[in-house]
Amino acid sequence: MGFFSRKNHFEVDGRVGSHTVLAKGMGRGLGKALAQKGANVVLVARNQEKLDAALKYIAASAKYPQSQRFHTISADVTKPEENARLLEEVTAWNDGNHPDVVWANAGSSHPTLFIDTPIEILHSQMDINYWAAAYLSRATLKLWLKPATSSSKSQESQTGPTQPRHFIITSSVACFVGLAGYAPYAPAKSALRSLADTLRSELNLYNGYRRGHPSQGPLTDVKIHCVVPGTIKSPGLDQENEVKHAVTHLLEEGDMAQTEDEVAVAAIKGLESGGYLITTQFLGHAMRAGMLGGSPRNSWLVDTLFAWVINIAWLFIGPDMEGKVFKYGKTNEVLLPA
Amino acid sequence: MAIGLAWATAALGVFFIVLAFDTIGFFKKKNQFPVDGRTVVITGGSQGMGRGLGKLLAQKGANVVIVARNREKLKAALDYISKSARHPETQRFHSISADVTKPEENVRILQEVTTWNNGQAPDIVWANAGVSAPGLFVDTSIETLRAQMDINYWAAAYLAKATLKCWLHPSSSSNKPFSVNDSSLLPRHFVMTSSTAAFCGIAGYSPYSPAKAALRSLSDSLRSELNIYHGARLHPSSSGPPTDIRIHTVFPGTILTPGHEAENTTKHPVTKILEESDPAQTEDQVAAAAIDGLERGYYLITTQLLGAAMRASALQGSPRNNWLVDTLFSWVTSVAWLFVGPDLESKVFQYGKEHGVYKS
Repeated sequence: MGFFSRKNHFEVDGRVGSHTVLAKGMGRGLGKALAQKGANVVLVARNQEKLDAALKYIAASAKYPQSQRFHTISADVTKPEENARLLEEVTAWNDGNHPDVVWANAGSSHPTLFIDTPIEILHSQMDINYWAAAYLSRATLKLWLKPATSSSKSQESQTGPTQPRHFIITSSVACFVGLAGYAPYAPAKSALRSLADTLRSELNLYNGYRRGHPSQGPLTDVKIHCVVPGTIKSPGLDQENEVKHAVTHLLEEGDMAQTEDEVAVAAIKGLESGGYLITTQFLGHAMRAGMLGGSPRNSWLVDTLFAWVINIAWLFIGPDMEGKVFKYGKTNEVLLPA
Repeated sequence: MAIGLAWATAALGVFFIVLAFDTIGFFKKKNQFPVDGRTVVITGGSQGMGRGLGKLLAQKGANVVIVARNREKLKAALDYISKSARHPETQRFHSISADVTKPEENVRILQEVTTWNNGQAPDIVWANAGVSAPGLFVDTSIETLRAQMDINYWAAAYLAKATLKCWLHPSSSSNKPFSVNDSSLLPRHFVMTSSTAAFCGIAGYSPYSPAKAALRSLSDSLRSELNIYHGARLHPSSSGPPTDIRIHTVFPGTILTPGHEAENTTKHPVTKILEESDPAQTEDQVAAAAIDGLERGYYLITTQLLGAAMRASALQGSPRNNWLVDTLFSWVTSVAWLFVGPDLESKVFQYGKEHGVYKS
């Protein structure tokens, strides 16, 4: 639980992390935190101006300003070919070495009632919140899982034992629960969590193969993680709140909100402890405990007891939340289909 | 102290006796899913679970409309289903050929059924169409990944949208609900078929599980949202929708169907190892279990014990079917997963260690 194991399971000093980000919000917070830990950071987003501003901000936090490197790539991550391209560019920029850490962090929320949401928005929500990460993970794994014999020379000359590479997906606590107003967003985040669980199971195949065939298997082990933040104070949140239905605001009343730096710090702390499904604040921890399913536990004892308690709590919280929504409909104007 | 203990023990004893009776269904509950005389639409209705559902609902007196792409399969299925009609003279059967992965096709389905049903919208709509194309993630083409999401998630989301737009319309002549008598308007039901794959991640299911998990999440969100419209029905000045709408999601496990045979041709050997001891049901068994759950008024419905266990471990805020059983079961399964989880992972690891992973 932390007392016995102090090993850092997420060494980034000197390694190259590339993450897709909306160049504001959590992604920028992550970039800064990783720069502070000595990583070379590549930011990806669509808008080059915002990327340039974020880069300056992040580079100012570099642990080794003389030797750490920073880069930006403008790309539309909702397209599969753009994900392959950005990895090629990072590799070229990194002297022919694939990045060590890839973080599929891009995402945005458009919380409106299902029948009021046009199909185009349902699609675009799935594109940015699920497909972007699915394409990036596929493109990244296709590179990382190549047999070691086909890797570039400079990677073989890494000194010391080869550290695992990490693929990280940013989901959302919305994947743990169904709330009125999140039908465009929550299913995509839920799909992400399921993808992470499935890939985690699948990566055992390749890591196992590497153990049995060290020279024919992939160069390193590959680990996957799913970070699940709650509310983050960011420009993205401001946009989200403009379209959000009143009943959703009602249900989220009292939810804890974190700054981009707080979320980044909590996420990286979870990674350093070797966690798989990583939440960033107490409400997130509780929601994760209630939806563990078959996902690997971070701490078998704490997670199990917490799950028992949360299960009871939901017997009361669930009906209470439904009651709030019902009451809202009873006392307010509701838009029905024409 | 002793008296307190005695009372507590007695209470605990009564509690377990009541639990036992409730679990075996001793306390008869009203049928929460009456279908006799009502009209049901089932997508993916020409084979497998959909066909099983059609037959069982026909036996229970429903008018059944099945939807699929292939007209020949639809015709054969319709013949098969209508033979089981409870009231052969009055029950009606219909089929519609449509590609449910297109939003406009789902709107057309609702319109055609309403026209065929004498201007009355269907009472029950079941988004059942689905196909599994399992394979390792890096070996699966992007086209396949997208096609899996289209049939397993979007088809149901489009049908939900088309159906709810119809049902949430304020009372009117085109949105006349089925009524047993003037004072009793039966709720309408929207049902989605997901899969136990939604509850856990298994190597080889990356094209399929995320879509099925998305369905569960959509179900939870819609269930929360429908409360607004139910509340609106009681709003002093509102013309709310004419009936309540109940949403349910069914999570079958392995079903022995033509779809399953096709699935096994692309499935990776390691996936088969992980599924080795899973129970398999016939289309009739799955249909019976699903409808039993609906009649009991359940929300997230599984069809066999393994599915029930998997659901219990992933309950979170979803409404319970039976608060006591679900809570105890969830405690037990959260402990079981401490052993089952690592065991499944090590099986995959072992397989990788001993066999090749690269396609030649």
